[in-house]
Amino acid sequence: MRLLVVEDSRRLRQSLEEGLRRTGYAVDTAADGQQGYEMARAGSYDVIVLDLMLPNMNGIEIIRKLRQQHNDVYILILTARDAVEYRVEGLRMGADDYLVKPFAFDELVARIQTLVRRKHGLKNPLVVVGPLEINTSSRTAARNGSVLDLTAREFALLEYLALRKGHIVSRTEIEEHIYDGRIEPASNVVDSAVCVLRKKIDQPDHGAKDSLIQTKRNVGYVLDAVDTEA
Amino acid sequence: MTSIRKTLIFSIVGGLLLLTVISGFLGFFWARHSLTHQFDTILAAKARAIANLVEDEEGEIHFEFSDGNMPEFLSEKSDHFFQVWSPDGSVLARSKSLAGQNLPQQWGSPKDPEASVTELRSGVNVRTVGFQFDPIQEKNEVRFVGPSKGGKAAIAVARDTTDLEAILAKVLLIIVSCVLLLPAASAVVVSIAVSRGLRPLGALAGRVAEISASSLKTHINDGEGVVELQPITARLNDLLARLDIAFDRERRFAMDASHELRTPLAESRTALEIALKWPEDQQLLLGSANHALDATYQMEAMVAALLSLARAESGSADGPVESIDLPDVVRHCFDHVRDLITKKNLELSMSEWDVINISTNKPLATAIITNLVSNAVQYAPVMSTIQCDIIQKVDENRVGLRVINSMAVPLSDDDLDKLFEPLWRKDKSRTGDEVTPEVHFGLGLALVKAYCEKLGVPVHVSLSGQMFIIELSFSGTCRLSKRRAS
Repeated sequence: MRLLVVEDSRRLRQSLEEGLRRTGYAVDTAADGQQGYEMARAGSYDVIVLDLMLPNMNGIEIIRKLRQQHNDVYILILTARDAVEYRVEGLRMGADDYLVKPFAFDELVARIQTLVRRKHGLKNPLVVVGPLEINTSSRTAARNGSVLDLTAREFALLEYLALRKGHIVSRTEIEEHIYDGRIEPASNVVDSAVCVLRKKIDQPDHGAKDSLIQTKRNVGYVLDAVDTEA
Repeated sequence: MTSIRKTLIFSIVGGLLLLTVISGFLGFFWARHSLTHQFDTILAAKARAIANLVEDEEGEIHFEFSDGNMPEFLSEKSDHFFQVWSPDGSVLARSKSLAGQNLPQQWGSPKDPEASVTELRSGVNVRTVGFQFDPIQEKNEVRFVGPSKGGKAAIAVARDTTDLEAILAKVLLIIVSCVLLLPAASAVVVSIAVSRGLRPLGALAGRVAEISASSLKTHINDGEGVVELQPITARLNDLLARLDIAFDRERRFAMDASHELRTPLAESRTALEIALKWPEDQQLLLGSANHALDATYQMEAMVAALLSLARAESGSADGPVESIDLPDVVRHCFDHVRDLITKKNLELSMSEWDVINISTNKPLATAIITNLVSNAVQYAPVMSTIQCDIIQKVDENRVGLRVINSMAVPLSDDDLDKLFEPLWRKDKSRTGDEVTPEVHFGLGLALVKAYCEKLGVPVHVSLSGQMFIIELSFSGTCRLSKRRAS
């Protein structure tokens, strides 16, 4: 999942970027409203974490402009303003959630996960693909009850594929949602990542026969339940 | 504590009691005088009628009293008495009721008889009227009153005063009853009247009691329908309006202060939570600790500034008055922010001032100028000019300090009223720009105002196009001299 954090406080922005990235999200950041708006308009973000009081353009203005352009990106307002009128205004302008500073980092992650699930039309944090169980809440995956040892990015890739199970996910989409501005994905980075992930989820001791991640040549990948059990 | 109700009741009832007692006394004495006078008048009339029965016939005195004329004197048990004396002083006649007793011999004239109270030997108190008179004379069958050869006869008529005293006693009883009952009754009436009269005051008190900190916008009806309460309600409404503004300011201040603290708190908390989430990463731990420490420094600076403001807003200026060279202090203040001036590529426009010594509280004056200069440098856009003037008003014994700069975030006329409010800033983002990433609290001008009020230094702010102008006017002994080249 790719997130955009628009926050003018340098320290908070850096902490959020670090924490969210370690949690498994691809994170881009912006320090002022204008930059944040440009990035939100140009990028393909799953969730935008947006401060309200920003230099150059305030958060409400960003939301208003994005919604005017029919940009349906999920927006979580993260602000020090806790008065009801600000919450109402933010939500009425088109924000999807509101979190007041100071906040618990885990709560922020949970709210981001909720927005991601909502984006994919899911209510249950547990996504089941055949023998594979992906818990988007605890960010763990298991096959036939055996927990898989995945890095944050591998889990992010698996989660993205799982949330779109049965659908073909293109390499470009994976690049856009799994990799942030820090990484310049090489031409085969997605293929390599899928290859590594496939090895981990299709290990023989998990009883794999055919891979759950199928390659659609020149199109992308599909994660789907196939008759894989021995 | 005094009570309007008690004061009114005691005043009115006390006054009424006093008036009633005085009126009672006067009324009683008037009644007594009237009744006695009437009593005496009747006795005198009877005496004159009896005197007309005394005749002088050629020096011989005759008294012919007919039984049917005045029957009240006939009975031995009658309460009416008379006694007539011949000019030679012998008793000419006396009523049967006297039973041989004598009435007092006190004489007046027939028009102004002498009256007195006497106790007869029988123990009866009588009021007597007596006078001397010329007996009626008859000559040639003509009756006339004139000087008698035999001299003046005398008459005294008396009546038992028991009835008179009984009437006077009744009058006295009525008056005393009135004196006692009227104040008691009036106390009840006044108490009811005062209660009714004060009812709007109670209603007003109830209305005021209902007003809480959250309902200061309440408007009390003018006088609650009572003319006398209109000035009070008008003042109360004024007071409520002022309180509302003050509470609003305090609420805004509390909100702003909490908001100011929320961001560094969030920075610190998030940094620490993330560090503890991945404790094996020493680099992350170190970076997070530094973030948390920086955020703590920021909160500490803010709390220190708020405490300075609280101290500045309370009490009067402490410390000795001493002479300071104002241009020198201004220059030093600009020197303190020289790095930032260079970083922002600001141009300073300052004259070569002479020595201008003013007598003032040095720490406070320095704090004012430091905040003023720092504010100008912080908020001026890069590559702009800050103009600083010192204006000598020798005749007024004042020195003006004026700082003019443009603002990175332009101000409007409406903003001028809010400039001195603690934690108010035009730029709501509350973070510095790329050149001055330090966080501002919006307390600089609030401190300037508080310190200026302590020193009695007027502050004036204005806008001239995009330029923000702030002027201070220091008073006190000013001494000018040429600055020696160092």
